[in-house]
Amino acid sequence: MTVLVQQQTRHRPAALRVWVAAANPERQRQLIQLVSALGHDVADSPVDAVVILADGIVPGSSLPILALGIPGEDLDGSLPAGASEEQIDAGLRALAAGLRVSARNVVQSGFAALDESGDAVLLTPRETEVLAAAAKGMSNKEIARELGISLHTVKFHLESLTRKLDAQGRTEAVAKAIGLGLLQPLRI
Amino acid sequence: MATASLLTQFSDELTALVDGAGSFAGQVLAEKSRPVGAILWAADIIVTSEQSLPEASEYEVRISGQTRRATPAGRDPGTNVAVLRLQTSISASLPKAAEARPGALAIVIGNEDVALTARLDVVRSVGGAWESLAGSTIDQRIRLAGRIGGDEGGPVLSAAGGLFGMSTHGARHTSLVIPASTIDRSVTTLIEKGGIERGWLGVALRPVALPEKLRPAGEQRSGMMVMEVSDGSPAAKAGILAGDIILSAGNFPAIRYGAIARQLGANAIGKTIALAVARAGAVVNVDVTVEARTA
Repeated sequence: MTVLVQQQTRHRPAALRVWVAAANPERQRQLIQLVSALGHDVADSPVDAVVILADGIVPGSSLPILALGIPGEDLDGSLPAGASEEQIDAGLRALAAGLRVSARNVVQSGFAALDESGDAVLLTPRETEVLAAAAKGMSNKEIARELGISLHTVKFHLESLTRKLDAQGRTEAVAKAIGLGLLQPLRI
Repeated sequence: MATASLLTQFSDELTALVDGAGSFAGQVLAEKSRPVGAILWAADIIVTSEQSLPEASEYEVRISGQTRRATPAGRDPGTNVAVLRLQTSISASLPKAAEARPGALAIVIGNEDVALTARLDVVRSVGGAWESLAGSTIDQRIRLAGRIGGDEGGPVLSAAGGLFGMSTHGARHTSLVIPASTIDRSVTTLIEKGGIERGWLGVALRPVALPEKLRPAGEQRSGMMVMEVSDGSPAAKAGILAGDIILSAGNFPAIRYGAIARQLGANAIGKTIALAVARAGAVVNVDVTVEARTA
């Protein structure tokens, strides 16, 4: 039993200490629940957090802030109000790593036609899987184990997708992918 | 000073038109959210923007100088129409629909925290019927020259005070108008059924580049990879697996999301779609029976 728990901990990507600040108490509860469900620790105050998740308000703080539904050039991180769990998780991780995160149009992506759903960057199936795993904060080793491929192959795909996204390193690649909506699957 | 009087007249007519719009244009608020534009469609029916309206069990509607409680009656992401029902009705005076033509003046009624706003715009282009990402047909593609941004959901009026439709923030910073006729159809269905029926497969898809050896004959370079399969969904029943790459659906190459979504209208429910799927380096054919999902 103990061994199993330890193994699970080892497989799980590193948790972040996140402080949640929402204008609406109901939304505050929702976001705290979401942050815990993503495997992060919810901080009681900004003092012992590494990143802030804000909704409806932007708290004054020197920590990086991921703001939902608040457009603004001066924010470290901003995502649409309806951002998915995957986007929020990847956004928090990218910010904690010192990057800026921004979806192209923060208020909303806009009411689109079917033909407007093309992608700026087309990744291969493996690159897509590696990117999704990297966005969850998994290490190269963990990705290799998860996908049943060698460490060398993981690095190869990471390099390739980083190049396609015109990014410097995996963390920036993830941040850019969030901005381009590449981590947002279409559900039908 | 003929020019000045013409301008004054122009300005006065605009002012009168915007004043009049106050009887059917308003705003919807969910608790602690920004206001969304609204149109009093019938005495107890409010139309607003689906993509801007937060989910809530009750809303506050401010219209015609009055404040009313309203409850959700249905949402249609396919046409960007959400319908609310007022708890007590207000006498409605919705103008007649007007036909949009390129170059026509358009008066866009928006809203700020407490007040309606007005903007003079021009119809930039009018195209034929088009299909939205969520798979509905919009009667005309009406684009405005100006930019709406988040301030949407209110009426867009003609110079004669007719109704072009509802302002909608489109993809890639376009400003669209959902035509009154499309809204009418959506409202009728939402009130009757509470939702819009659509075909459902139960998969989450991402477009991917196809490796050389998986490319079907011809120029197809991309397919749709299955990222997730919902439990108990039609895709799960048909044995679709995460990691499968859909190459074609119903003989249409699955180059874009639209190629599949287009085949999932309400009339597809109960029908079978033949999928060609790349799995572990080979191509397999899978038949999926489409089920209903109420959006």
